[in-house]
Parts: sequence; structure tokens; C-alpha cells
Amino acid sequence: MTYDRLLNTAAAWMLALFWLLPLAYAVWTAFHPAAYETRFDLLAPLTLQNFAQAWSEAPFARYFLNTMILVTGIVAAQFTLCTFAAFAFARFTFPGKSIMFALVLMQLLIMPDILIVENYRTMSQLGLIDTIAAIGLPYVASAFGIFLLRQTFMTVPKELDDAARVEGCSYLGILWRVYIPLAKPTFLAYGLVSVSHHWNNFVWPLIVTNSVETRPLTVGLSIFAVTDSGIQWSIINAATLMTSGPLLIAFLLFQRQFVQSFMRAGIK
Amino acid sequence: MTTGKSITLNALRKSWGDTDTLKGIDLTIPAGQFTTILGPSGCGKSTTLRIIAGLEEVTSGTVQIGGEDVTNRPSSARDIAMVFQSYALFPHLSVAENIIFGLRVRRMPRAERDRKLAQAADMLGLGQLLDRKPSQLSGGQQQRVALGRAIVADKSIFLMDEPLSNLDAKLRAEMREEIRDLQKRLGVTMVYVTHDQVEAVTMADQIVLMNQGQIEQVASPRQIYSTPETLFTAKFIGTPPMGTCAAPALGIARDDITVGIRPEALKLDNAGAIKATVGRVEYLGADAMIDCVVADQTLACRLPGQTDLTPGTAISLRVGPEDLHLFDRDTGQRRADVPAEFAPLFASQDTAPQGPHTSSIER
Repeated sequence: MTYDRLLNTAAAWMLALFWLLPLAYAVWTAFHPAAYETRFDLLAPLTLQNFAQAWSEAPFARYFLNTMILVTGIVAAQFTLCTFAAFAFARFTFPGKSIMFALVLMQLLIMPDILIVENYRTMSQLGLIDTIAAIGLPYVASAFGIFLLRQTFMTVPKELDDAARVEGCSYLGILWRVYIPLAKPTFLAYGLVSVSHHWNNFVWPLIVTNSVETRPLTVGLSIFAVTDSGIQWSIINAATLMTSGPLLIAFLLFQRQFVQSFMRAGIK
Repeated sequence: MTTGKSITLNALRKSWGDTDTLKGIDLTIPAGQFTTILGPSGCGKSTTLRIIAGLEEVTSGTVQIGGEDVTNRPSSARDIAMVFQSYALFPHLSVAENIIFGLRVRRMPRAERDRKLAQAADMLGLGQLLDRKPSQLSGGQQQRVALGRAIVADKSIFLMDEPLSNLDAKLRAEMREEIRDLQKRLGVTMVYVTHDQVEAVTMADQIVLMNQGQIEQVASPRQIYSTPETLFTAKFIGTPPMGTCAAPALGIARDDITVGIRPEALKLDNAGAIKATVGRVEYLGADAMIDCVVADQTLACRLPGQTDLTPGTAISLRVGPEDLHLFDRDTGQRRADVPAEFAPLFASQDTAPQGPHTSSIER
């Protein structure tokens, strides 16, 4: 029994260490002069120079803004759309309901990357190539969101629905006053998954954008990293830390709430 | 102060696919009275209530409230408030917010809202609990909050769907009284659905007994106990239920009649016309329930607890003509007359005068 436990603990530590190694390396190089990129010396001088240099060499401020707009836009649109769709699937009967829901579930099975060409064609027909809207639009009707919220809405007792109706709530009133407040943990959990996914999304934004005004952080970072003057790890890692920093800090700060809402929403 | 409105159901039918839940309900619920709809589970009583509330659509028939046809009106336009079996409190709102939920929806000005809240909280003794969440309350307190929500709505009709079934026995007795008081004080029309005949009998002005989607009988508690119109009513009302046997078992040559006798109406009497054998004896403290085997059938008899009868003893019993309930064997309908063939049963009428027997419904 204790042997088993020992093995488990060791494995957990190993995994954590492996996960941490790249991050540790990034932190090490970002805060030390370029000379210490491949040398480990505890007494190496600390510096913030790398951050200043990275910030000045590429329009990271603009990239930050783009990513912020992108992520808030996507999450807001997803919340709205998925809430209405999930409410309809959870509480109404209408012709074709099960077929439509099956279609939604099918979308869950399809890797978004498969659709890159088709999505590109659609965006170009809409005249949206190289806009922030084009990065977000393909992800707005999220099957995952619809499914998740539908499941949550279906757990709301029917009597609460009835009680609100007796008190004079309209359908939208019931949604707003009963279903949404009760699904708060799910919204939070889904919002987190969505934010981190779209903050980190790379391939699609890389394809659909080609200017500083639209590029999100991930694409900006990759372009910055492929400089023709050789790779400077310390500066690249400083930039990497800057771009992933906000999410990392937010997660560390709200760790407890995040985990709780994931547990309550039933996502693992 | 609101005054109640009457409710009239005309030829109400409700079907789910092939199953008919309600098979033609005609019912008048008088204004300002306490009416309970009683019946075994699955008899359609909750469906009836939900149709009155407008939460369920009718398949055919009409619902009138206060003389107006409301069949196609939404719940909120029917002048009703409802208390649900699970109380239906919103778990994310405090007690106060739960009570004034409907007032908020109707955009009532804040001052008036607060006044009504204070009034209802005072009436129900919820003053200390207004900031709590429903999950922090006991069952009885949650029940009160649900009542509070109905009170502040200022409606003419209260609909209650088995509101006490989730409470323990002691609390249930308290709440019974409280709800009855509340109805009297507010003067509203109360429609109260229950499967518990004790609740029905102790609270109601009028009992509507339902079975399999139809109304068996509509009567006051006393009347429904003393003159059940059908065999089903006879067996459903009263604890323990009325004993029944075919008339031939009592030596009467009428095999088209089923005889019903309440356990407390059977008296031990050596000159009695009913000859029986003691079957099971169940000691209940003050009383003892005796199974009297007559021919091949069994009639229950309630005797004082100190009885020394033992199984197998031969006994004689008598019953007064007013305690004899006769039903048509095939239709289950009550027979108004006592046919001449039954006269031998009362032959020893002169032995002892009978006082009115006490009701055995109290638990």
C-alpha cells in the first residue's frame, strides 16, 4: 500500500517537473543576459532588459489589444448564442429538434482544423480576410458550449420553471432569472476553457490574418521568434512570458474558484 | 385583502398520446372555500391542478375562473398563486428575494414591495431568516417561504400541490393548521391536492375524490365519510378502510349487492345476526382490530383494546341499518334503498341502543 503510494507520488512529481521544465527554462533565460542562455549559474546577474527589448522590437501592445478584442468577442458571442440554443434544446419541443441536436453533436466530433480551407473560403466570400471577426466567427456557434449548457439547463427542476411562469415571467424572463443564474458555474468553466483556447489558438489566426492590426499574440510571437538575425532565446522567452503571463497570473489567482466551478460544471 | 373566486371545470379532458389522464371532469369549486382534491397516485389530481394553474394545456373542455373563461390564458393572467410539492424556491436567491420574485417580475415599486415583504414575513414568522438562502432553511421554513411567495402575490386563488408531503408528521400537523388558518384569514379560494386523506378530511370544506381520471364524489368530509357514493370512495376514506363483502356471505340472497360496514359499526352482540369466526387480532393500544371471517370473506371490526378474543373463537355481531352501506356489485354505485332481504340482519335491534360512533379518521 505504502509502496503504491510512494510510486504515485514520485510519478506525480516527475510529471509536474516535466511540465515545469520549459517554463523554468523560459523564466531563467528571460531574466538573465543572453550570455547565460545555456549556462546555469545561481549568481548570474538578473535583468529586465530582455523584456524591454522584446516590447520595443515588436508591436506587442497592439497584439495584446487584438487578442483581448478577439477573446472577449468570441466569449460574448458564444455565451449569447449557446445560451439561446441550449435553452431551446433543453426546454422546448419543435419539429426537427432531435435532428438538429444530432448535427450539433456531430460538430463535436469534427476537428476544427479539417475545416480550415472551407472556413477560409467562407471568410473570403464574406470579405472578412485579415479581420479580427474572421478569427472568431468560425468558433462562435460552439457545439461544446451548446451541449454543456443544455445539459446544465436540463438539470434545473421543472417546478422552478413552473413557479416562474406562475409569477408572470416570460420565456426570456425565465431564462434570465432562473436558468442563467443557476448555470453560473457552467458559464464560468466554459468561459475559462474558451478564453484559454482562443488565447492560445494559433493555426487559424496565422492563416487568416496578415497584418499587425489583426494579428493576435500567438501569431505575433511566432513571427517575432523567426527573426533572420539568429535566434535569441532570452528575448523570445521574455516575449513568451509576456504573452502567456496574463492567463498564467489569472489562473494562479483564481485557482480555487476555477477548480470549484469545473467540479460543479462536471468538466474534468 | 383579496376575496376568492370560484373555479368551474367543464368536461375537462387531458390525454398524453394514447393515455387519457383526465376523462371528463366537471367540477365547481366554490369561492372562498377550502377544497381538497384527494386520490391515489396517478388518479389525475395533480394534472387537474396544473390545468387550473395554466401549466398544462387541456385536450378538450374549459376552465372558468370567477365566471370568465381562462382556458387559453397564461398562468400569470389567471389570478392564481401556487405552492409546489418541492416548494420551488430559487436556490440562488435569498428568502426575501424568493418571496418578492413575482413582484419584481411585475415591476412593483420598491416601497410597496418592501411593505408586502414585511407583512408576509411577519405573518409567517420569517423575519429572522430573510437574508438566508433556501438551502440554509429547514423543510418547514422552506414551506413557509413558499407560502410567503403566494401571499404577497395577492391572488384570489391558492393552488397547492401536495405541499406537506416532504415534512415529518409533527410538522405536518402544525402546517395543516397554519394553512387552514391562512386560508380563512385571507379569504382566498384554496385548491389543495393531496393523497393523504387525513389532510383532506381535517382541512377541507369540500373534498373532491378522484380515481383513474374521473371524479368519484364531491362532498363535505362528514358526508363523504357517512355516505360514500361509490365502493371506491367507501374503501378509500377511513382508516382502516371500510370492510366489504358480498351480500350472500351474510346469508342474504342478493348476489348483485356488495355490503360495506365500517369497522367501528360492527358491535359484539350474542343476539347479533352476523355469525363470524375471529381471524387475526391486531392490538393497537386503545383499540384492537379484529378480522371477522364471515363465510369465506373478511370484515374488519374495531373493538376496545382490552378485548380478550383469540383467533378461532366464534362470535356474533350486529350492525344498525344506518351503518349498512350497500353498493351495486357491478357498477360500484351506492344503493339508496335497503332491500327487504336485509331485514334479518337487524332482527336483534332491541338489545341495546346505539350511540353515534366516532370517526376513526384521525391518525
